[in-house]
Amino acid sequence: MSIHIDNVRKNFGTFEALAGVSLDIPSGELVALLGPSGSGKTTLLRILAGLEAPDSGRILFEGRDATNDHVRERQVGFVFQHYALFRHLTIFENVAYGLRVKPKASRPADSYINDRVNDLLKLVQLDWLGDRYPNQLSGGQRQRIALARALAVEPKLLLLDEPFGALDAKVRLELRHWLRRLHDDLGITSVFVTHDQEEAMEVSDRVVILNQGRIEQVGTPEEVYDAPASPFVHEFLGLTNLFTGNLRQEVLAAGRNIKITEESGLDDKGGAYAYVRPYDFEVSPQADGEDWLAAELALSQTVGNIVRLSFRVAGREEPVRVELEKERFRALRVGVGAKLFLKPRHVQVFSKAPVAVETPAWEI
Amino acid sequence: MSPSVFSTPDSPSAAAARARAEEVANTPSGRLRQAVGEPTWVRRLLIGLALFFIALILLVPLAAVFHQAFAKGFSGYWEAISSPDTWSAVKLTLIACGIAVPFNVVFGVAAAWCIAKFDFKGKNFLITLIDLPFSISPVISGLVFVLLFGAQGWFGEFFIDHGIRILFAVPAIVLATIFVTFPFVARELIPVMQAQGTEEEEASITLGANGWQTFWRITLPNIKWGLLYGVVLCNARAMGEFGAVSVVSGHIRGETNTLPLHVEILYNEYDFTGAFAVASLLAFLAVITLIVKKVLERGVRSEIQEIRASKEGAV
Repeated sequence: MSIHIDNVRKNFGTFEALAGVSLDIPSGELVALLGPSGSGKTTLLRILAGLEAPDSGRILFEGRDATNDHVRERQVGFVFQHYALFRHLTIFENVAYGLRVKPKASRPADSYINDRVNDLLKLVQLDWLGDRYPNQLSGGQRQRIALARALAVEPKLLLLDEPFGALDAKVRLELRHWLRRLHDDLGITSVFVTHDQEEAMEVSDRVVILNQGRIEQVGTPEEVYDAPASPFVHEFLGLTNLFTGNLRQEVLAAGRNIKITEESGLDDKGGAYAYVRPYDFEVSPQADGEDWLAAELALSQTVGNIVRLSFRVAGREEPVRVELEKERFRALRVGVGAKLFLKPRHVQVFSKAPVAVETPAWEI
Repeated sequence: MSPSVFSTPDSPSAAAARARAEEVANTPSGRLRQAVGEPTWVRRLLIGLALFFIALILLVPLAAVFHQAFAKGFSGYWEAISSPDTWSAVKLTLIACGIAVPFNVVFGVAAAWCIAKFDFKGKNFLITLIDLPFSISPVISGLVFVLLFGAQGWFGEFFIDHGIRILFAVPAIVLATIFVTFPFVARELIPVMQAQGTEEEEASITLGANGWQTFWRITLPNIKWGLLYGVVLCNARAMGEFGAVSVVSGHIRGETNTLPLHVEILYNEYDFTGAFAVASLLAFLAVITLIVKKVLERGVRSEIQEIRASKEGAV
């Protein structure tokens, strides 16, 4: 089912949860709503489900205005963050619930319900748990049952609120892949909310990045990562280094000069904000040109095959964070305190000032 | 929450720790337990004192009730119990409970539902209002109805003109009982429902259930223990209510006497055996209430624990 969201606004008291959001979701896509807490992503999901009403704006399903449709009539499947399984019902009855509460005229026969529930339990690979109760299941199992329950009523739209948020890292990773495969098999238009950029990038066809009730960017995971529309998007999608200064002839004057390797499209005058990801640095014992930054290695930490380095650069408070492969770091034959030179391979430049974002940071 | 961080009581490490602790306590050098706890004689004294006062204040009077009730033997007891006036008091008490308890169940569930599941202006005011009958004297609760339905009351004339007796009749007794037992069910359900939140109801609605189905299939089963607990407390109070009912009843023997009022009348007439025999009925009900309450408390606890477990126990 295709979805058209038209300038939807929602306030909770004085808090502006959605400040005019418009978005198109084509039929059959798996879309991630990504943003920090308070960005309005869950509110948008709940408005799609009909669990909240927008203050203004419209929701169209297949081109038909569904803004005032009751939750029941929307044919959406909703998977809650904490699963919301019915505690007093067995797993089988949980999944059967949506079929059992149908109006008499359209309620299927018991034998059909039986078959359908068993099929769904097989689909989520938990058909041996039918007579257990929710509190006897692990988190990952509960999540899969919640999904089976939502699928029982053959929804045209599947909505998932932080589906993996409460799971431990390993189960989360497994379920992500499983959800992607399931979506590919069933082809139901699906929208899921997450604050984990890795999850959004890995699972979805398209990512919608929200911040303070507004959409910052919509695009495929590659698009948003390679060409972020705003400093917020760049910062939110991963650890980065920010250099500020004035741009002159594609060179950012900031303590030492940083050459902008790509066409920035910015005026020569005025401030510029340049970002370099940690893995986008060359590190060398000697500078063989103008555009190298002199830096002193302050900390190093090996994580698997990667070495995380933290450099001190003169005239800069924040450390410069660099990632190198272990082999390449070993080849440098240096330790903490060494004087080295850094050169960005790839720089993303913005004319707009970044807003403060909670970004994942290394604990070093 | 990772299981490795919070070891369960059954985990080997916990069992080992327990064994160690016992070992320490049993060895002469292990003064750990004594150092933390009170000396034995203090503990015995405190427990003894508590038991003494419980016996003095609770058990002796209870025993006295039954002793007095059977002072003239079983036949005297039976005579008092089986007198028509006693039976009419029993009947009236049952009628008052039979109306007040269901009414307060419906009201309590509705009030707890809207307080726990919705946010609206004046919510705190409503909660305070529900508590009102707890905080005012039962005599005042009774007088309120005299003021409303008495001959000089606001609505008194209207009902008297239409030949409907409210005051000094069954309706006023029922009304007073409802008023006094108003908070029990709601008070009991609000915390349970607040802890449960609205996710399961929302899940039910997204699955196509209507409000009625959601209530019967999801909400009610989830609060059944809390509800039963509230009903038991409400019923106990409804049966035992004296003050408010006394003000509005008019004490007409065989007509407007509930059990507690009947006890008072018999006592005032120096019919001690009769008074205590009827009182023993009430005491008997109280003991049953206590037992049922104890059983239900376990259910309520598990109801709340399950909610916590289902919210936290992700792994």
